[in-house]
Amino acid sequence: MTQKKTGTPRKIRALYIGAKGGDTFDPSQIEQQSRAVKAAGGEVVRFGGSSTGELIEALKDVDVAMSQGHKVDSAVFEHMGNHGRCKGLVSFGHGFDGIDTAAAARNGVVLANTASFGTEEVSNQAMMHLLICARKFVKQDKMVRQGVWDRKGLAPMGHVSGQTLGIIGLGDIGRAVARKAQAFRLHVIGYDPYIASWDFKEYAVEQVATLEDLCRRSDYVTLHVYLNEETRHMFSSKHFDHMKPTAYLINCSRGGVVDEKALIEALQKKKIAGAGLDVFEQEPTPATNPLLKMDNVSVTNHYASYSEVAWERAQTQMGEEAVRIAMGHWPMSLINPEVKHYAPPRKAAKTWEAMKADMGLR
Amino acid sequence: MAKLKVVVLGAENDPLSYERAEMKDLDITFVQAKPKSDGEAMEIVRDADAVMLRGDWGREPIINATSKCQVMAVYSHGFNHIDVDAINEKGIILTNSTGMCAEEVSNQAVTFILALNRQVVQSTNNMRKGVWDRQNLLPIEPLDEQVLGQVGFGNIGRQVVRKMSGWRMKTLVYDPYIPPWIIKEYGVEQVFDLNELCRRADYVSVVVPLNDETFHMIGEEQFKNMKRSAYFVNVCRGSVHDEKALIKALQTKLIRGAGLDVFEKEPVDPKNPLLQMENVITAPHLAGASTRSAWLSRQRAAQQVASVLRGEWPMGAQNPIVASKIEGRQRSKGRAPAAAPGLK
Repeated sequence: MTQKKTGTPRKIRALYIGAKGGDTFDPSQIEQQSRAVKAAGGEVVRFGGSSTGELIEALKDVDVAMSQGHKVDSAVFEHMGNHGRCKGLVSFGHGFDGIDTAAAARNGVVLANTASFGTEEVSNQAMMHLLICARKFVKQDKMVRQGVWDRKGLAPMGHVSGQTLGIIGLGDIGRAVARKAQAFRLHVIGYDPYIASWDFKEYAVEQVATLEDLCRRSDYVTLHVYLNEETRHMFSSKHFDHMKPTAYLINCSRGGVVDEKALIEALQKKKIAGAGLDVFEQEPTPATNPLLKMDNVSVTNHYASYSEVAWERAQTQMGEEAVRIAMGHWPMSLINPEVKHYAPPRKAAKTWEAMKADMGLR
Repeated sequence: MAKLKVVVLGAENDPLSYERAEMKDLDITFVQAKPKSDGEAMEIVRDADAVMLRGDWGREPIINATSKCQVMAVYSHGFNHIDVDAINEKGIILTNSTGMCAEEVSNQAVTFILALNRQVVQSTNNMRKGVWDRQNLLPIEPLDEQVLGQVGFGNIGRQVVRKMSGWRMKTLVYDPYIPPWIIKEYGVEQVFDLNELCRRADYVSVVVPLNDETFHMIGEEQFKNMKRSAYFVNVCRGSVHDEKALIKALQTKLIRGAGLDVFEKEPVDPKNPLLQMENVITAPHLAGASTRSAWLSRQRAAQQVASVLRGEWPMGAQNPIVASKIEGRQRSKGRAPAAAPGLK
C-alpha cells in the first residue's frame, strides 16, 4: 500500500462561528482549532455577524463551518451542502442539541462533532456519581464537616461488586463506563436498540430487550444518550416505578433525557434511593430546585467532559474534521449518516497522519 | 404487499431453516438453485428482491441481470470474491455475516503467535522423530517482553489485541481508517507508517479485508523492514501478502518464520516451499471454523437480508457508498435472532 502525494492542497476556507449570543472568541481556543486547517494550507475566517441572514451570506465562500455551541437554524442548511460551497459543519463537543440533523442530511450537509474527546472524563464522572451514591458520600461529607461522627442513618449500603449496573446507550461513553464498571466487578447490562448484539457481546455487556427490563434489574442506572426527539423524556415516571427502591439513577448525558419533575417525585416518594446528576432540564439550575436539598442526590454543574487534555483533543479534532470535510472526505465523527443518501459519495475518513501524507505534508 | 422473492444460490438442498426463521414475519418465496451456467443464474435472479450467495455468483453479469434486487448477502465474512464496483453501480446493498467468526479467526491468530513463540509445532515434530535436544528450537523469547504489531483494527483485529492484552506485550496498531479514540480504548500505540510497525514488531499480525488497496500490502519492502527474529502471521486472505516475497524472505532468513491460515492459491500445492519450512506453521484456511460459526453464518446472513427487506439499513452492510444511490432507510433496530426450529 503506497502513500499518495496529491500535490499542493487546494486552499480551504473555514468559517468560525463562535458561541451563540455574541463575540466570545477565546483567541487561544480558535488558534488550536484552526491548527489543522492552517497546516493544510487553508485559512479560518471569523463570523462577525449575528443574524441567520448574515450567516448564510458568510457561508457562501467557505468550504466548511466550525461552531462552538452555536445553534444553527435549519434555514441555513438550504444554502449549504448540495446548494452551496460550504459542505458541512463541525460542532465542538459531543452533543449537537438544537441542530436539526435530518434537515442537514436532506440538504446534503455533512455534520460532525468532536466525538469521544471527553469519553474518559464523562465516564469517570458517571463512575464518580455511582460511587458517591453507593457510599452515601454527600451525606457523610456533610456530617463530618458538621462535627458529626456518628454512622447512624448510612445503612443500607450496596456491595457494588456483584451488583448490577444498567447502561442506557452503548456509544463511546457507555462503553467506557462498562469497561470501568467491570473493573469494579459490577455486572453490566445494557439497552441500546442501535448497537448490534455481537457488539454487546464484545463489550461483555448483557443486552436487555427493553428499558423496563433494565430498570427492574439494575442497582444503578446510568444514561449515555444524545438528546433528540427520540430520547427527550425517555426516562419518566413509569421507569422510576420499575426501578428498585434501593437503586440509583445517574445522569451525565443531557437534562432533557429525564423527566425532572418525575425524578423529584420519585425521590420524594422514595421510589428510588437517590441520584447522581451532572445535567438538569434547566441550566443553570435554580438554587430552589428540590434536588439540591436532598442529601441522597449528588450534583455537579454540567462539566463532566472537562479536563485540559479533553478540551485540547476536542479543539484539535475540530480542525481535523473541518479539513476532512473540506477535502471531500467523510469526517471520522459523522453525526448524520443518513446524509449519505443525499450527498454525493466522499472519500473514506482517514487518520490525520494519513491525510497529511496524502497531502504531501509532514 | 406482493410476495418478496429471495434467491439462494449454491445451496440447493439446504432446508434454509435460519433464513425462514429470520424472515417469518415477511411474505417470502424462497428460490434455491445451483445454476450450471451464468445464463441460468442471470435468469433466476432477474426478479429477485434479495440474493443470498454461497459460492462464486457475485460477478458482474449476474449482478447486472437483477432488476429489483435490494440486497446481496454473502454467508462468509470476506467479500473479496464479489464484484463490489458492480454492486455499487447497481445500487444494491452488500452484506456479509459480520462478526460470525471473529472469535474463531482471532483465536487462530493468537494461537499462531503463541505456537510460534513456544516452537510448539517444531518441538512436536522433533519428538516424533525421537529428537529430545532443544537446541534447534532456541531462542525462545519471553513473550510478555516482546512487541506485537497488529495491522488492521476491525472486529477481528480488535479481538486479537484484546486477547493478547493478557500477556501485556507492548502493542502497536496500524490502521489508517480507524479513529484514534477507538485505538486509545485498547491502551495500544497507534503507528502511522506500516514499515515502522514492521521495524518494531516481533510478531506482525495482519487482519484486513482483501481489496485493491490491501492486495500484496505485506511484500518485499515490509519483510525487509521486519526484524530477522520476527514472525509473520496471516489469518485473513493469502493475497494480502506477496507469497513469492514471503518465501524468499524466509529462505534468506529476513524473518524467522510465519503462521499462515491462508495462501495465494488454495488448496495449497503440496510442493509449495512454505510447506517444507520448519519455522512455518500452517492451517488449511480454517481460521473461521467452529461448530458455532457453521450455523451462525447462516443466521447472521439471514438477519441482514431480513433487515433490508423490512426497509432498514442493515448492521452488516459493507458498501456504505451505495447509500448515495438509494433512498434513505431506517436505522436497523437490533432484534434478537429468531430461534431456528430443531437446530442450534
